[in-house]
Amino acid sequence: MVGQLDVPGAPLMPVRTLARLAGVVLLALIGSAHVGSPDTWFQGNAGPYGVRAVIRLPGVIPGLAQIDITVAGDGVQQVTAQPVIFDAGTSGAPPADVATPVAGRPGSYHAELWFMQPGSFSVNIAVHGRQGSGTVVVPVAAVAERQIPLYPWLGKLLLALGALLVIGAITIIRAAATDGITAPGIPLTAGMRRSGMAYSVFGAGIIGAGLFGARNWWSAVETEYRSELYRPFAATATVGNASGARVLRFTITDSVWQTGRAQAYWERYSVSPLVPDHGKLMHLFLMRRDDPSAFAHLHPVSRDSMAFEASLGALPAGRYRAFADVVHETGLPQTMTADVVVPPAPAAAAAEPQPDDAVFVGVPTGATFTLSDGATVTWEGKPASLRALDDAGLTFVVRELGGQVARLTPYLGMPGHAVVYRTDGQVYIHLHPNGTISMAAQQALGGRRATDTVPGMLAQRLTAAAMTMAHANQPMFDGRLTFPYAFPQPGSYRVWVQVKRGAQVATAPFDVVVR
Amino acid sequence: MATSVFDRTSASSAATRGAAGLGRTLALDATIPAVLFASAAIVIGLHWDIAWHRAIGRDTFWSPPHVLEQVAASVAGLFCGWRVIYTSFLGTANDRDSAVRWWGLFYGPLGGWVCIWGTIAMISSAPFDNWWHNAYGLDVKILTPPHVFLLLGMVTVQLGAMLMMLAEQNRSAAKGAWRGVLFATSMGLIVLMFATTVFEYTGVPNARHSPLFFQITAGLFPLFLLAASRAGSGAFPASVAAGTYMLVLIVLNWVLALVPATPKLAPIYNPLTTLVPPGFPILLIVPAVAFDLLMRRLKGRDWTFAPLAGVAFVLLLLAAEWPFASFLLSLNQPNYFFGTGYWDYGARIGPWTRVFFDVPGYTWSNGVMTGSLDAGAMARALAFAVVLAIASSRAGLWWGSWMSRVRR
Repeated sequence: MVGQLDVPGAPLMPVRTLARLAGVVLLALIGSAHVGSPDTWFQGNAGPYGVRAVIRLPGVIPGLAQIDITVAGDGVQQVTAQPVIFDAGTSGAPPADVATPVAGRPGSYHAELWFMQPGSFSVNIAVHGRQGSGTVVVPVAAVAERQIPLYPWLGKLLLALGALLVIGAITIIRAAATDGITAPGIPLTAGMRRSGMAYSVFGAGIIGAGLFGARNWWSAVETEYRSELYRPFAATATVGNASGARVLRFTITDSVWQTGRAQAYWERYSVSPLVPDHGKLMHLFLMRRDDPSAFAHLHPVSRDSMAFEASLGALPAGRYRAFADVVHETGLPQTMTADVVVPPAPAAAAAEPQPDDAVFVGVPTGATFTLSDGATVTWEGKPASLRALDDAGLTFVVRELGGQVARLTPYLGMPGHAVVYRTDGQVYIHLHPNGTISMAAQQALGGRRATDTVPGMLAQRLTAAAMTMAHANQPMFDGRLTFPYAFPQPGSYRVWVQVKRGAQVATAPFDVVVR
Repeated sequence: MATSVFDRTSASSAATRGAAGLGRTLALDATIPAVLFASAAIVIGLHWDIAWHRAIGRDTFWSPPHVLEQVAASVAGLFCGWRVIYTSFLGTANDRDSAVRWWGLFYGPLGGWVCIWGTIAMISSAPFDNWWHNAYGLDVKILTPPHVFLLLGMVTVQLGAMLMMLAEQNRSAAKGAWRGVLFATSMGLIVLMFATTVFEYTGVPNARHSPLFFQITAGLFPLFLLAASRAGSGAFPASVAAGTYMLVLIVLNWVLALVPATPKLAPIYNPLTTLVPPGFPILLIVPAVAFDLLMRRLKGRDWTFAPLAGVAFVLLLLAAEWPFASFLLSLNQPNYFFGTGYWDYGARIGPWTRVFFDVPGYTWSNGVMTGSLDAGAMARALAFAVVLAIASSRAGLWWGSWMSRVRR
């Protein structure tokens, strides 16, 4: 095992780019749809143009998002970006902002967008040019996830200025009762001095009361802000026994989900039904805590609105972290986390995992991993180490035994999946070649109609579409996969790449150190 | 000056001379127009900024209204700062005698110190506000601690400007009429500033039949109008102050409604093409004239004057504003001349823009107003307004008496 770093609550490092952008030291980053990975990376097509976009949300709402767009294709005349909230749609959106071309980098554009309220948004990127126009919907969850302390320098500055202002105010009050109302050249009497002192004391009392009130006000704002911070639904995971086989039971225990009543403003987007993402309501990953060589990608089936169950197959016993991805009808994705203890498999043969579920035990072997049948998965150009926030250039090639690039069967509608996991569990994300976004969120935000006024209407349509999709004959994919992504924080990471060859899901692990 | 600026003995030998030239002109003469400009720019900039937020929504630290505020703060701080440096170290003994001494070393007019305090508060609020936005979001709220801190600085600069006009007026043997007018004008700018802070409850004509409108105006305006009337040297200082308040708003209406603007924040329900003007001012001129007339007749009888002024304020404002607000609502919307009927980009324009808000006895439901005026409830509310007006009047007279004594 290389670079194992399993320190619960490891110190969170300052994030350089954001710090540079906002002059901010980030204290905490809790990802929204994903864990510890707040930026949205996207790759797709806007009509005839290939678009790659990075959306950095401000971490605090209302706030300014920074958007970098790269467009492939000739004759691009204009690129625009528009924030569209789920409920209001494009008709209630502000006019699209024209992204400005980045000097010296042809095809690169930059835009800043205002996100004024928390919620499930899409950034609609439109490209206009000689080949016509095209638009693509990139879902983003605009929620408050960041808390920053008062910068030490600012605290000192405010303290100094505050002291100056308090002393100044008391001096002014004294002068207003003494010098100020004395004719020029006349000295102050003892009586006036006494009265000046009395007014000073009175004024100091008023100022003190004002400062006390201001402090309480500030505390109240802080408390309110904390109550509006994003937090994923609370959940538990247990392993039970069903006719001799181990079954994982993942239960959403959150009161907001159970009562359907939102407390924080953003939670109104999380009290809506779940919609299938790649045909599955829940994508659940298990990583063994003390040794991530054991890994599972499961799709628990809902038993009721709270509980989801999946067979564990041949997963070794141990303490595991569970990450469960769901998407709400509003396009808001969530990753719930839970710890679970998996007992040893019963002596009887373990139940076969469901199709599309995968249990994997194995360790990385450098830049190339050899599958059981001799085919290989190679991280092309794998660097010894990566820098946080830099485009990681994740490119993987699947080759058959003979060396030729493999043809891949769609795995849950995708050419491939990658799971990024910092080995202390503080970063987790499920990637696809289209980036960090959830397909279901993209469909929800792109497919919402003004007539979808009752919760569940859109979900029904999306579920029906997913059923049709599952039965459709999908084309094969090329065995060369790229995942747009940047590692958000330094640390030791494990990446699992999953593809489907024939009917078999293949998993290949890789390690990388991010500085 | 050949001597060290810290050498008092040598400096006093030049007691009647001082350091002549541009430095002296800038320190003594230019501060008056400079702080008056700052006071006006602060409140005009604030209205411009509000109009910007109501129409465009987005702004930056460097939006034009913000720059005007920054210029205003800098002008007040720099001119008053120079005046303090000049008076302390370069001026004559006479200059220092007519200044307020500060920490045993510095000399400057009382109003100058107040202006400097306000400038420092305004400047301090900027990094605080910037951090606040990073920590809690780009606020669309008006009332946040850093904004209140900024407002406090703004009002303080205005108070300082007013005190400088006041000292000039009170010290002048000639009692030149222009000094009195400048003082009353500076007070009018303060009236406008405070009127802006309660704009939410008093700004649109629709609010001007509500009990809250009369209670807020009664609690607020007699304080400033009577203080102006008591301390001003002219015949109609409160009237000039109220007139200033009204005139600035009317001109702002005419100008802002011509400035093109496009909403940049969602949701946009009211597609605007210009900035949103502040609307027609409250008819404060009516009670203000009454205050000035009463002031001459009731000299030295403040405990009689205050109740009389309180009753007069509420009754006169009721008599003037009630029908006038009805008239404003009867106009076609929007009306350029009166500046009414302009609403924010986020407003869903509908029948509600043509009715009075929160009038006792009326209920608004499903787009229709029903009921009739609950005269009893209205009378009780107005009685409370009278109590507030009396307290405000008494405080204004007390403040005005102190103001007439300001000499430096």
